[in-house]
Amino acid sequence: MRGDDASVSADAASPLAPKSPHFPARIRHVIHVYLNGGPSQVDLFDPKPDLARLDGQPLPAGNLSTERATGAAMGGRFPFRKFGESGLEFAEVLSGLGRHADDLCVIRSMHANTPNHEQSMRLMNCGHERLSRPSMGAWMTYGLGTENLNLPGFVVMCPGLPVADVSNWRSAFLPGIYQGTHLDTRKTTVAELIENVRNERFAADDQRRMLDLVQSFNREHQAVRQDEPELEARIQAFELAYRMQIEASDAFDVTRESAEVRERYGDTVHGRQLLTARRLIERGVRVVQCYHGDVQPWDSHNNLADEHRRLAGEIDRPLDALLTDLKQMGLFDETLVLIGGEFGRTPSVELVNGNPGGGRDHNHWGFSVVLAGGGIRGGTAYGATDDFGYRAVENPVHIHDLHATILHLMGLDHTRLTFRHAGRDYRLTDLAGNVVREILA
Amino acid sequence: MVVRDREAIVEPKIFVRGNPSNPGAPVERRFPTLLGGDASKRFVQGSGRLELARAIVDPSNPLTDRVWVNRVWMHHFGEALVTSPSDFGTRTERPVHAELLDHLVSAFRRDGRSLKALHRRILMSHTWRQDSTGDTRTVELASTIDPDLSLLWKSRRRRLDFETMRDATLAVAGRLETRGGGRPVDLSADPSAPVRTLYGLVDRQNLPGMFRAFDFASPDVSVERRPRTMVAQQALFALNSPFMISQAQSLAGRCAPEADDAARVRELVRAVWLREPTDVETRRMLDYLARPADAGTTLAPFDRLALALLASNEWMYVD
Repeated sequence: MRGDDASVSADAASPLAPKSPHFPARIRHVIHVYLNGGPSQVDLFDPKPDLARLDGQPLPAGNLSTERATGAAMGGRFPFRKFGESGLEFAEVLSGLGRHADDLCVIRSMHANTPNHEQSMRLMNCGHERLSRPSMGAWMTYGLGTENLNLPGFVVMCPGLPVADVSNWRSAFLPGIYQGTHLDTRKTTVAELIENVRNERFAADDQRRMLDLVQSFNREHQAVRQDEPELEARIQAFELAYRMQIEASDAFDVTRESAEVRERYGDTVHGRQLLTARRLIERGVRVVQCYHGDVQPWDSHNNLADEHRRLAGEIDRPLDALLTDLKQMGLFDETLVLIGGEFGRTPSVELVNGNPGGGRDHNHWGFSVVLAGGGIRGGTAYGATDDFGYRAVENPVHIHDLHATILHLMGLDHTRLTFRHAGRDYRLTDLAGNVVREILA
Repeated sequence: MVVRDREAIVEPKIFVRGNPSNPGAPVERRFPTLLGGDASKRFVQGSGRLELARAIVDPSNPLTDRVWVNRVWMHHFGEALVTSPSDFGTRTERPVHAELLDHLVSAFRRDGRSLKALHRRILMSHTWRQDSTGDTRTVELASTIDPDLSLLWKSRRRRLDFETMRDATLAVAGRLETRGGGRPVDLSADPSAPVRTLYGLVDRQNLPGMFRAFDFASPDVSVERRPRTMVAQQALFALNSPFMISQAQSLAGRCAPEADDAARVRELVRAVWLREPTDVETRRMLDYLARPADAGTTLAPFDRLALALLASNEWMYVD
């Protein structure tokens, strides 16, 4: 399924050609299931009996708020259950995910810098809150290339656009070819997903002949303009586009899966996204991000119980199907699945016009992410928040640390994956980041 | 449209983290002290809008004109003199050509802030009129000393941006409507509308994919400059979009349609590349035209050749 040998060797000069990692890699692909908006850790991943006990009463630790006014303690809204031999706990609304507990690692001590979506989205994706920095997907594609030159190396799916829109998958100062290719999955057919992917006026060989003519013009034009790297990039963009027409039609077409498989994922936008992600990984795509939805669906300031139940219901079954498939197809050990948002939520109830609204505010002090796949120590929870799930207190893991760890799994030393820009070397983790070795198998 | 002050002026407060339901300390209505210093006077006339406007254009405030001129320069040269065009603060790099910027700003003011005079001054300069190949005697040395071209020893090679690409394509196809004004046209519903791209409807909630693929700035925020990407979607647009196919057909139709193939090739190349084809190029194109198409190809040979020329780098880049 991966790009055939002839096409790989012909493209050895491509900036997307596979490159060796710094050291042997544990994984080759990343699927980031991005629960954008801020899923609540105390409701889903980080059970807090003390919080439940005090439900509706003032917290002894004082009012735990970040931005908006919050009130009394709000216990987790869903019962937790122990799963697998490890007994790792997840909320019952994530039972499908829980089935894989023995292969999952929950980091319960994540923390970020700012309780605002835009900054935290950028921090999670690009390692910087404000300035234009390349996204993690762009860095990984820059560092390792991709294994199928007929598809983009970094694919982003979202039904619409998340907060901070295209800055989430930008290449910034890295060459543009490393930017994520965004597909609006509110659309379902290949021709709708990728605009202009078909040309009804050409037989396939005739289009190739026309493109050969274009490239012969381009090579002569380039011969006396060797100082311009962009010319080569545009030549390559046309080759990628040509191959995408064929390969993408296949890879992005989930109707080529059996009815049984599609049924397991569910015929929803989330089911299709994760099934597509699996099909892309199978074909050698390096990084796939699947955002839960437009803007910030997990942002449950009000009525969290209903909202989070619905959202968990949307993603739980596709997650179960994805993890099951990866294992069955032998892809689990070479793929990292990262599940989580840009921050978590407060343990105390948010006050809406002075009254409890059944929801929670943003919380960057402590939250959870779930990791699964190659190199990950399954059945474990790492780190801890305080008794109420507000702040990471034990083995805190900053987003820079998470980035360093993911790059490490990919065989990349985050301090050595650099790009010279504006007079200095930049990296994803800036001047921070420590590999969290305790979660590695 | 006229903006008018309210009867009762609201006394502003800082919104903590931008949240209007979380008001902080009151803040005096005056020119920001960050820019004007502590001596900035309080505004006393109504809301202070007029006083703010006057402070912005006050001759004692150099910032406005510097920012303005710097941006005009950026759009002509592809890079600004102050390379952080939205940040003239103390933590940015000092511009290589600070004196040049001040020289242009002084002239701009002398010209009564005439944008036209500023364009003319820049476009008639030796610096702007350089090409991107550079003086062959100096290229090697200069490329080593100043690969980023901050010393402006040659021009930057420029890729046509979205509007220029689309307008130029319509123009070379003989279809461009040059009228000004009127209502915007939804280019996703009517991709081949011959209006200038400037008149394309920008739906802020749902920017058309074509705009996004070609680095159009986000319409929701202040963007000092567009991103610059090279992605397969741009190439798919050149190869497959109904817009490009339609323009290629028009272009082929207007280039000496009655003449023989060699003459038509020459006309096409002159129209698109603004030069004569070489013998090698002519031969290659004639060979291409002579080869019978496969079943399923419904585009005429010259239409396909026109599409190929419009996909070429030579068309998309200005030396």
